[in-house]
Amino acid sequence: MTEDQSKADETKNSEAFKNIMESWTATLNWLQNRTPTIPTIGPAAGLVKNSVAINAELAKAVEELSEFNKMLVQYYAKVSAAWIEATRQVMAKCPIDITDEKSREQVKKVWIDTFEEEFTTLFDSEEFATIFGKLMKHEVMFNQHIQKLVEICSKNLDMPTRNEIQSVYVEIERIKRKLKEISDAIEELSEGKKKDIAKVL
Amino acid sequence: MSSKDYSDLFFTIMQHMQRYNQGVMQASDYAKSIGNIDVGTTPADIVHQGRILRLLHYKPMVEKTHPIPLLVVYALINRYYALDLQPDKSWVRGMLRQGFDVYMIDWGEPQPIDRYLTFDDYVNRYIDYFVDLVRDASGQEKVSLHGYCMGGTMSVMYASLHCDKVKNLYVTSPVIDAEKDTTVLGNLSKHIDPDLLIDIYGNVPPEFLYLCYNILKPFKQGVRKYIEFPNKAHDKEFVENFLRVEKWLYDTPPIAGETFRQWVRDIYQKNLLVKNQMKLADKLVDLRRIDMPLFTVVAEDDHLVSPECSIPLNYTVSSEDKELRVYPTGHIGLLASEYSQENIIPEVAAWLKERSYNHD
Repeated sequence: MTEDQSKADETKNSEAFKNIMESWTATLNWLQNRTPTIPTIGPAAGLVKNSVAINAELAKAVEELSEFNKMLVQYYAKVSAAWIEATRQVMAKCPIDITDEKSREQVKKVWIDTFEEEFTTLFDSEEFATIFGKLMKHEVMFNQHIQKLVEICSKNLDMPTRNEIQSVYVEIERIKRKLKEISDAIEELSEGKKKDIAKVL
Repeated sequence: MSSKDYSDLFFTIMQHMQRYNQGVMQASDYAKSIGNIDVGTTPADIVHQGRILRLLHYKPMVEKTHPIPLLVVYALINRYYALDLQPDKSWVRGMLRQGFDVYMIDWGEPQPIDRYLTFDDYVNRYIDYFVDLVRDASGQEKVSLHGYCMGGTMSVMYASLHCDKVKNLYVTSPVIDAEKDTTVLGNLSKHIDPDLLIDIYGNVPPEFLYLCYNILKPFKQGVRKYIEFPNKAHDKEFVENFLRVEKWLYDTPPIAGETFRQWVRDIYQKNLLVKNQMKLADKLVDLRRIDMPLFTVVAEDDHLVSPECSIPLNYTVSSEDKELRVYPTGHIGLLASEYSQENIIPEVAAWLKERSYNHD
């Protein structure tokens, strides 16, 4: 092979390589532009479609969690205040010297009685019950958003959703009640028949 | 206090803690060696075994039982074996020894599919079915009904709607006038939203109920027993009984959602039962329709259902033959205690015995 021929081949190869690369780049560019219109298959399609709803539920769940934490702070503030007050009272009521068994038992009794009274007063208060109710509400609401999220995903996976399962439960209960009504009616009828026979006899 | 006093105090506390830790470790080893704790050991036949419900018929302990059988309706919270927790304090054994023919409903564990069960189902479907089974098995037209706590409330509903099948009604701490309930539980139940809870969880999870119990008597019944436990850990009988009660306390099934909704909304928040406005499906529960002999038992120190909440039953019914007894004990003490064996069972049995024959 002459030197000229070798140079010509080299140029040809590099041009071929350039062409290949250019065509791939073009293809990739084309693909990049076309991606949104390519029909995806399987659960991913639904997930993409529902991403707005999923994000919204996630955001709401986080919001509920933050409300829950706010209430939790209030809850613990109340509990801590009761604890501090009870401790203060125990300190005032108890003997300082607890080296003998009798005084230790006395301290234990005072401690339990005082804490019991302080905490029962707290748990019995309207204010605590309201905080408790709200705390529970936010926890449940948080779970509600998680459930909605799962519901969206269940649909995408072609699985029965919670609502669908609930409606089956409702239907089963309805059928059970109907059966009870029918069996009661049959019993009543047969008793009536028995009574009729008794009359005839 | 001088520095020596502080040092003595510190030393005493350390000694105490060391002894306590030793006790905890001993108790823990002992608890493991005990294995399974037996509860509900009184021999019984299973008359009915459904998907979740069972009807137990206890084997008699006397040669001839009183003719009218006694059907026990336990609460939907915790388990029926509270009445048969340990042999020497078993309410069931006590009544069997007194000559009663005892049946008991075990409500079992509601599954997610059971969340739509209502009081109508429990009262008019299940209790009614079991009453019929007991009537058939005993050959008696009527039965005596004993309801405990929430089971007492359900027995009252049943007696109001099916008075033709109930010979005697004996209730222990039923929730009747919730507005008068002075317990922590009564306070909290007025501030929760049962609709939200049920719509999300379906059945009420046991964890929610444990949370409620734990704040009832947090130190006297909660903390104290755990502080004192290691000191008595060497006593086999004490440990076994302690574990039995613990097992029962933390063995609560979920509560069917719709039933819980009615329990909180209709009974605690709207107080419909005592107003004679509570409806089970389309049937009105009118307490004035209760005309059979009634025996109401309440506890002075009941921290779950205060006496003020149960006592109005005695004054709302039409029964002429009625008794109300207030005992100086607690909610559990009414059934599972030495006190109940020695004081309550003999009195209840005497009252019920007189009315367990078909004189009329």
